[in-house]
Amino acid sequence: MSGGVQDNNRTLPVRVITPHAGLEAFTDAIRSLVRDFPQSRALAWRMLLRDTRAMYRQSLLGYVWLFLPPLATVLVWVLLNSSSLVNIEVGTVPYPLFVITGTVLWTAFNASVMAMQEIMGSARSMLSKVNFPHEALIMTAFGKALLNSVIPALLLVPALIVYGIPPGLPALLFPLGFLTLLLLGCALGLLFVPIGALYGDVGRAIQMGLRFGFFVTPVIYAMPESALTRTLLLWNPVSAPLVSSRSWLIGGESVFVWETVLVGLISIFLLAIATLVFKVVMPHLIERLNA
Amino acid sequence: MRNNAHNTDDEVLIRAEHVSKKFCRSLKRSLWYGAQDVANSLMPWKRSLERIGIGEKLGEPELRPEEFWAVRDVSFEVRRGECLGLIGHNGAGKSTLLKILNSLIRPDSGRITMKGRVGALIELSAGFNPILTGRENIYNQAALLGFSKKETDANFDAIVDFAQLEPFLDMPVQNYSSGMRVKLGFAVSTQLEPDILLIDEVLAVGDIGFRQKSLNKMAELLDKCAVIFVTHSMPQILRVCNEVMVLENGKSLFKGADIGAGVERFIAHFDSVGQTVTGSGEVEVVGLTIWTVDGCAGLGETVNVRYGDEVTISIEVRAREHLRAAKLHFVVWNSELLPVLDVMGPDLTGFQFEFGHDGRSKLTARIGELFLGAGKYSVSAVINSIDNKRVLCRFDSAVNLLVRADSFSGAHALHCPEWSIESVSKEGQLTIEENA
Repeated sequence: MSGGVQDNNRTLPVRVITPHAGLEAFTDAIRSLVRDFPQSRALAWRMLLRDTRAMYRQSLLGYVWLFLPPLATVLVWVLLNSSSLVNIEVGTVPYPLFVITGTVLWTAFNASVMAMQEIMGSARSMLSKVNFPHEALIMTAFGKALLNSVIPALLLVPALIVYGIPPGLPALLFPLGFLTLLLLGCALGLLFVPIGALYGDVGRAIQMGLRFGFFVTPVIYAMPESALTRTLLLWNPVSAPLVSSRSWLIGGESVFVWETVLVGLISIFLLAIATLVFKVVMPHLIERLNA
Repeated sequence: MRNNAHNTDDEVLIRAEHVSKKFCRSLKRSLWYGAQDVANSLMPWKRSLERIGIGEKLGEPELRPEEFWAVRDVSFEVRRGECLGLIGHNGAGKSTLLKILNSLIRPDSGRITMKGRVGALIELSAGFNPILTGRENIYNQAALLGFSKKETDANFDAIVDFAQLEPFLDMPVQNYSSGMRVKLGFAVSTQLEPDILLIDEVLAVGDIGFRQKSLNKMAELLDKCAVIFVTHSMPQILRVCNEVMVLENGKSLFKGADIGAGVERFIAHFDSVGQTVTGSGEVEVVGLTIWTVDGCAGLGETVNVRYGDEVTISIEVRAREHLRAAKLHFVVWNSELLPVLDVMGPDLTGFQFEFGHDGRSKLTARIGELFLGAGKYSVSAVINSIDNKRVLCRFDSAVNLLVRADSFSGAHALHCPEWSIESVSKEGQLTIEENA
């Protein structure tokens, strides 16, 4: 709520604190999202700097840690496949390049979910002591997700060169697909933050879900030909943008344009909803955090 | 107490009307209620339904099982230039009220209207990252409080100067002492030019010099703002506030401009620590009486004392075993359980005495004028063996004293000596005046 009261040519902002429920809570949230945007953006930037600096100042290898997990995944699957322990057919594309691309895209989704999940843990003490625009936490988490997924994506540059696959015109769509996965991850991650703040079960379930999700998404294998499995896999929202983006970059697979666009639009919508929900329920969460 | 003549009269900046907040004792339930509250707050139609009489009422919350009122029906107004002191015991609801005022949490009922920019000196180093340097943390903390980088750049030198931490600016904050952290946090936070200031005992840390400095800085802010001040320090309340509210179990016990009365109300409400008897048990306390000008009190009772009143304690003890002599002293503890006065024998150990042939002995100590500051005190009787090596009987909280002293001092003992003034008169003559 904001109005104004005149005082020595200065308008004082008026804040009304009430039990707050109903539609009013949402309109208030939207209003303050807009009003506080400059502050929250600046704060988010500071917090992003703070967290990344602190993390890498405490580490010898620094950003190398961002490359290592996807590289390890790639190595495992390339070894398994080349030693015929598992048999994965991906058509004409070299398998290592296929896995690297898949892993990089999966990382975008995975890192986004994780970044959102970590919001409450890292800001717990701040939240219960300082009044600041909470959406800044979401922006910071988005920044971290971006950082943690774009840096591993740089692996693609040497990989493309080594395997001599020049990106064609469709490769221009790759960043869009990448962004779709990022937004999807953020939306899903953020939706579960409020309830996850209360119950630790949610965080565990999500971690398990991500591990499981890795295998029910065509990351290390190609989209199967069988219509039934294909339909089943497409129910997984990560599949369409991931497969399409990979195909845009290195070719060799079918592209699911409409599905990808749909996932993108739904993600944006969900992210907006989740942000609003986050904003509205935060006082309730803060109350329970240190109760 | 403070001069606020230059302020506009009716500028009420904080108005709290019947504010209540409930908390839950059990964590499991608390989380479940939290989930329910979250679900309720996400139903925009809730209020409309409620208006036409469907669903539970949100306006008049009732306690669910295991809930209690952390703040109950509290109302007040604070104008610019005024300072409302909140006092109460731990868990009385002070911090909860501050959190509601700072919009961290929402009340369950009631309404608060705040006009102007809100500054909070509550948790000064909440945004600090221990790995980063002081310099970096200044920017982070400032951003958290809503300052742009430009504003912080402009104030940077003033902050560093105020915090007196220049040599340590590029050291990680994890190597700072807790006092240094508070200094840094305080320096950043007080850049604010708020209309409303919420202060929660932040000045308890830091060295004397810095404490003085921050008190002065606060005094500067106090005149321009409407202030809510939470503290356990009675002298600060007396010095700074022009109204005081005593909270107990979430309710306002006392609210008014008579600070002395409020403080007294608060002190009187201290729970007396239960009587405990420890020691070898070879000696027991049979009876104890304390006399003042106005009355007397026996074991477990409380007596009112004015500053400077004469006080006498007499005690009757009995030896259970075959004992010839022992040593006795009385210790007077303040409400923070610090010993402030030890009533001893001439050699500054216990007063040595002998038991009668029936094993009993009655001793009286004329303590004389009591120079203790205002507060609630408890008296322990301690009987030691002659070599002071064994405690034969220790009777804690044998009797309580409620001392009234109309002073702003927070010292444990107050003393007015005989003063004299030396001055040189016009004629160049030295005169010495002595007070009566």
